Amino acid sequence: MTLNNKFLETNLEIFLPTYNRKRFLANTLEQLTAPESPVRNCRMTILNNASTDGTKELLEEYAAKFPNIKVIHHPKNIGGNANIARCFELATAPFMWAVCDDDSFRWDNWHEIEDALQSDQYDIMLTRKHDLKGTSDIAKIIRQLTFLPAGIYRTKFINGGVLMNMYNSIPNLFPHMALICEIMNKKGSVFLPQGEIIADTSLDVKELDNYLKGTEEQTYVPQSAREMFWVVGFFNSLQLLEDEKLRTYVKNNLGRHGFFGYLMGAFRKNYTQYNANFINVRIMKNNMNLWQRFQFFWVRVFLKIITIFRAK
Amino acid sequence: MAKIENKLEVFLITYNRRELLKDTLKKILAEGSPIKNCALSILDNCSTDGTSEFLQELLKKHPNITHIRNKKNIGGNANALHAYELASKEYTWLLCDDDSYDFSSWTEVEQAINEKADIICVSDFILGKRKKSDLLLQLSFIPAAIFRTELLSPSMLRVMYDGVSTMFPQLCPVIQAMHTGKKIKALSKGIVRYREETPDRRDSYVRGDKTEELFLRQKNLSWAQGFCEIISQLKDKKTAQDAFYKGLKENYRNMSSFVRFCAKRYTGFQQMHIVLLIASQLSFVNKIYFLFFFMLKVLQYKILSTFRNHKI
Repeated sequence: MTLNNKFLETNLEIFLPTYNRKRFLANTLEQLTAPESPVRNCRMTILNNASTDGTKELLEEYAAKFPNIKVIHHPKNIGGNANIARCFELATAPFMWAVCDDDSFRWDNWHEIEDALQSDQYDIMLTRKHDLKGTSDIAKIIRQLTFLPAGIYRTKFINGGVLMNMYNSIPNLFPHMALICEIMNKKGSVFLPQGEIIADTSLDVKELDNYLKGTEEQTYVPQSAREMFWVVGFFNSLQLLEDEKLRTYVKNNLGRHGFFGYLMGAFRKNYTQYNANFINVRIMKNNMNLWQRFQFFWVRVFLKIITIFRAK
Repeated sequence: MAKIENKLEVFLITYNRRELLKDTLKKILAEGSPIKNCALSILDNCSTDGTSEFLQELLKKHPNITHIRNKKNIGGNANALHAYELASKEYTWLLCDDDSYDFSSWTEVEQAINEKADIICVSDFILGKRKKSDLLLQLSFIPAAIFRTELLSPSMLRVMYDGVSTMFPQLCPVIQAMHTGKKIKALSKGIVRYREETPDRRDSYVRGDKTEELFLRQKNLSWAQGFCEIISQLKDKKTAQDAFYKGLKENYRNMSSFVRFCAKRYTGFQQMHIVLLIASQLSFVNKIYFLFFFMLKVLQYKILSTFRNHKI
């Protein structure tokens, strides 16, 4: 056991971007540093995005108690996605795992991941399989990986180009998709465990909204950012996949009901937020093939009709 | 009058340009330079040409300099935003590593700072008649702007990070200032000037040094596209159009060479939205001229290329 822990200490680094969620953060940190936690001795870096609710004091407390915890306080809030990109920028150990501040963990499934880490064969290790629905489909894996803590990544792949792409795709809400696509382009391998480590987290609607748009009142937001929501961002990020076949496959197999059904479901849930923004939709259409464009057209027609009916 | 050191903080971004940086620092730290005692932070984007060692030497002589080295190269624009994030004094001035300086009109800057101007424009090489549109274009040059740090609020930083992909995130606070009627002051004589630039330098400025790894969108990014994307947020359409037209002449000489450039770069159907975006920032007559000749040129190039293929 001690040997194993030594291995983890040098090979895995944990990042935790946080902003104004002291309540959840305390819970997460407690689980990470608990005696039964296998990662309690790993290097942990917590990136505090200029929280205003006393998170700073809590973190200072933890940093004083545990020598392996390092806290970085940003002088200003730079937004959640820029904070995520910063995590990947700072990573130095061979593997890195960015967790969110409101997760809960099931450590009893950890041994699988540890074996995979030690075998040194895999470039991404899944820690959550909720979206996979029992399959091992590449499209569903990529969809699952949009959830930041769902993957433990090999840091070898984070080079200058990937980081630039990350910063460039901050408005697309999933900066880490740049790394996932890079690994897919280089034909990296993904480890699929039997059990999950990250347990269900239930984001309520309000939380989800914060996640998309930030918590602060903003005086000036460009339209493309205001009307961004995660399907558009996800599709935009997918253009980093080089293999066109794979790109089409991923888009067609995201949901159970194919491309049309998936878009319909995703857009319908967000139809109040979704407003056909010229640039966003154009960019989204860019990487679709003819058949997908045709379906996309009908999705938009249906949504228009639904919106009109709801308004009445 | 309060000392300038207490009010102004200077940042400098650099990447792999040791000799130019040496030159610039010599000018900034010279005896006659008014900012030689200001706090100067140099953000080194993980240079590999010995910049680091040179700066370590320099640190011993000048206590007011801090050297911040990124762990990886994150691209010039993200680095610039990192500087704006760290700013804490009343005014912030971000410099690049390859410009020339003439401090003869510095008293005006001090005066403007005492008057609490929000943005001070310290360059005048494309300022022309000092209209609003001229200011917008001039301020797209990073060292031209001394910002009041109040403007660079957290919500503004978020917006700026969203705009990294347009390569003109520094225009976001300018647009915000124009929307809210903040005071923008231009000097009678410019301080910072562009150096004569070589074509290859220009390219790296636009796209970073590893083009093969970037987004399709990023690969094709041109001055016109980035600038259009950011100024399309400006409510005052007339100013935006004027600024874009002037910049277009500055960068591409005239309309017809610009059309040729666009026809070469944005031929694909996938890039149609970029052409439309650019057209939307032109005045009515220019729009028609641009779209008409653009289509002609695209056809011409298509026909020419098919001929060439036939010969082979």
